[in-house]
Amino acid sequence: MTLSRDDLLGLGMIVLAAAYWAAADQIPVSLLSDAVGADGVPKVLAVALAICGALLLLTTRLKRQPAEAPSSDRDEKRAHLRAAGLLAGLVAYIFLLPVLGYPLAIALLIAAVAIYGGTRIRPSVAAVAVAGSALFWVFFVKILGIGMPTGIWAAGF
Amino acid sequence: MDAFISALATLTNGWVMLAALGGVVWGIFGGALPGISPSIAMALLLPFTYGMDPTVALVMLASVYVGAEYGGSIPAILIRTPGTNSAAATTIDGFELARQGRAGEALGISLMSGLVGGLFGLLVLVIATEPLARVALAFTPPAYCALGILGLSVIASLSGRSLVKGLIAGILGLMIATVGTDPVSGVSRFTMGVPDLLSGIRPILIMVGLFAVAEMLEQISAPAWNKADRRDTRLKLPGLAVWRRLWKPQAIGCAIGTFEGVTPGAGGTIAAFMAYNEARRWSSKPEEFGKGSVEGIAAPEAANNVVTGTALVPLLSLGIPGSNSAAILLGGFLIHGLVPGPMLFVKAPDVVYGLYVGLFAANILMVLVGLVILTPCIWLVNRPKPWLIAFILALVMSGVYAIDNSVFDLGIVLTAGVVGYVMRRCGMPMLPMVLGVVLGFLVESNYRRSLVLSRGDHSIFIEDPVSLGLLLAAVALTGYSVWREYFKPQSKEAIA
Amino acid sequence: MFKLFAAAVAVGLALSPTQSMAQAKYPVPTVTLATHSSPGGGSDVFLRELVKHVQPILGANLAVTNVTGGSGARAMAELAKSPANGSIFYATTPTYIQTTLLSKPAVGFDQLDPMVIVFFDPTIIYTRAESPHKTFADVVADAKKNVGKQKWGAANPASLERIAFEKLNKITGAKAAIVSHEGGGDLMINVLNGTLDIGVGEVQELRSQLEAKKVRMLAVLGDKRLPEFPDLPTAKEQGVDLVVSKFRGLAGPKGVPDDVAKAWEDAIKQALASPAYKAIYAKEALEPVGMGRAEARAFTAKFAEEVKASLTELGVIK
Repeated sequence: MTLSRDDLLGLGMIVLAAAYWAAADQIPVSLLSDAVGADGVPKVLAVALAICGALLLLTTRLKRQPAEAPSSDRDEKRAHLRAAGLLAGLVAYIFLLPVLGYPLAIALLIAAVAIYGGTRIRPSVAAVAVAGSALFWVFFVKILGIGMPTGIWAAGF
Repeated sequence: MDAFISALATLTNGWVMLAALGGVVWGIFGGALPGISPSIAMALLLPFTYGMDPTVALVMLASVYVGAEYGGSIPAILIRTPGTNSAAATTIDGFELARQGRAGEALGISLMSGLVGGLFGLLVLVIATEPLARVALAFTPPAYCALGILGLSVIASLSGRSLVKGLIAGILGLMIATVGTDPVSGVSRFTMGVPDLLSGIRPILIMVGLFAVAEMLEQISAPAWNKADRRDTRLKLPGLAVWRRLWKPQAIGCAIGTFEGVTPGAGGTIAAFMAYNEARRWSSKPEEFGKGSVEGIAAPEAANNVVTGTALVPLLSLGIPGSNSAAILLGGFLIHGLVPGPMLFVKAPDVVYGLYVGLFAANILMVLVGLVILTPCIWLVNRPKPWLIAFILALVMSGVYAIDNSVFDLGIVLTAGVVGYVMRRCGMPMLPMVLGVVLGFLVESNYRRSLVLSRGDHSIFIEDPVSLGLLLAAVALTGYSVWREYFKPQSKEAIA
Repeated sequence: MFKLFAAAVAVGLALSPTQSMAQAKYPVPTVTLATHSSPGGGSDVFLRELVKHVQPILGANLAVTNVTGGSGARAMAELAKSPANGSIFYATTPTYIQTTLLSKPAVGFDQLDPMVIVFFDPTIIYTRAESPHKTFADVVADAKKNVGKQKWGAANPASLERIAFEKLNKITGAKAAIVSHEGGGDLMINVLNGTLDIGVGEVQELRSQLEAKKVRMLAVLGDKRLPEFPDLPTAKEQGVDLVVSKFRGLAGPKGVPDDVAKAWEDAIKQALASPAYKAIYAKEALEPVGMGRAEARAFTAKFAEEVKASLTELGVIK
């Protein structure tokens, strides 16, 4: 038989609970600790999560209701891929930020996301991105005094 | 009385008024930016206030608090992304209304409820500081633990169709709250050797990820936003008929906000959630909640703005900051050589009364600023979607970095974003997780402190009268929610 | 809107006294002082006050920055990779040693070089005004009589104060319950409402309640009485050898040139002697020490050894 999404979720939670318990077990015991211990509450949470996971598995078995009609697997997959692409862009931003510096990185992020979201590639995209970056830079760096990364142009800002 | 008259003179002091205006404007912006919570908005401003006159500086900081608690509701309504922790409850009905093309109306209600809450909180602060300070002192560790459990009990009714999924979300939230330094022994837990995790994960990071980032991940492939949005592109203040529906949820919000604000450590988030929950319970149209109820905005927004006044009660009367925001304000006092506490009213009454007057002005100015900016805000979110997503993400990535100058925090936000995306796909409610993250530390640390005090005897939770009362309330609330969800036949459809 | 905000900020700046940047002996124009506390927190307030008094003497622009997170771990990591030309220092407290020993971050206190020690912070045992205990000796006597009955509170888990109370338990055999909190305010509530018999903290945390006569100081945990409170006996005088020494100083990356270290030593000593600064720190009952680099290095090493020894003795670290 095939596993429904709730089944997968329930199983996932049981696995997570086990991993969390194992991590809690690794917490060093300190003589400054109390009777409950640093691992006491986490272990209770792990058990509770495992029980909830099992309940989820059980209820989906019992209800046997027609699974929520999946809209369309292909649409679904496409949406996940789109989301993953956006996520990859954001991760790239995190890695580029210390290298390129804030003004350039944020301008690239704005332009890239706008294009990824479906804006046509035109010179105006670059203009809006640069303007946005300037606005952000004035606001965060100049007005609020946040030490945004300057990247490899350290001397310039 | 002399001090009071001098305080009235403050009203005509241009600097104080300017400080209140500047504070409110920055507060609303900061609160509306995902990532900048009220306390962070205040912390960012604090260094600018060092050179100012003490009254001007404190009015400015307190005005930021007022503005930020309100500002958080703007993105909550417009893009389902609460700007602050305490605006999370407002997303439920606020965004629903926006989706129905009633964004302007929703914003008007949250603005007016914020005003009612803010003024009520100020009134309580001015006339009842003395007795309420005693309430704050009555809270022992078991009482705090019980207070946290009462907050968590709201999970049962926030879970909607699947109680089990709600519980899972809540437990995951509690698990996130256990990361960091153990509250009793000081050993590090679940930090995996990463120094950035030693002081735990800020709830605001989880919030921003769960709501803002996850929403954008979802929107990137969704069709263009409903054209219905465009129908209502102007701010619309509630008319008399709407006010008649609003007074009850606002009164509930005021009552709960007062109580939660006064007890140190609790704060606006629990107040907003509990007010939402109670407003639904006592409403004549509970079936509208979750489907765009005006009452569902009024209650939490009144509650979290009451807290901007009442959270100052323990700070001014006892010198004890009850929330992160109050702690920043305490810093503002100390920097100017003022020590909040019982003697403040004797030693520097002009500052105290000046602060009251400044807070009053801040609440009025908040409405004026709101009237000016809200229509442009609606215009902003009706821009082409790709640009909107791009700018929201750029704001998120900048605002989150500004909290601690930490790239690591950006990673946490993205991770929480992925979690939020998966949860949406699995039909798991996110609000229980927010509650877990916000309340986990409060509950665990006070639970364990209580047991240290009682040497492991759990009866301490029943012997402490405050704790007993709160626990009974939690049991009653949970029982009622479960009963309504599973056993009350006719309303089954209504609350789904 | 931004304009209005900027205007308000400008007003604030205009109101602030303009600080003069005098003689340019110091090798760099701007010095960053980093602290792990958030704006308005203990070390932050200490630095901002210090800046006011040291800046004109040193002849360099001093800027405070908050590198919060990880109880100092992030700030230490930041410092260790900064240039050692006197352009950046870190405000030290016992926290950075505690964090190094307990959490073992990649960069610990031993990767930094102590530059100056400015103050010692006296630590005080106190109780609420209505408490039956009038002196610390009363508390100890009662604790010995009613073993396992007393409740003591410290501000933070694994703080020096907490460790001191564990020691007190050992010395007296009181088996008191020791409750740690999330800071001084949290602790104060539980002392005021009678949940705890005694609490321990700094003068600054107690001041508002002291002025209102809501708390009573019982003992100072130091070698000698405080000049501000000559009637308050030390714990030692009351028969319990319990000393907590806390310090406030600055540390830099390793390899800061000698002339910079000398400039700081002189500037700190001169500032501590100025009446204006004295008036401020005397109110907080801070003890001025003004150690230069050589002394500060020796002091920090000895201090760390002692903390390590007591943590090991209590079984907290191996």
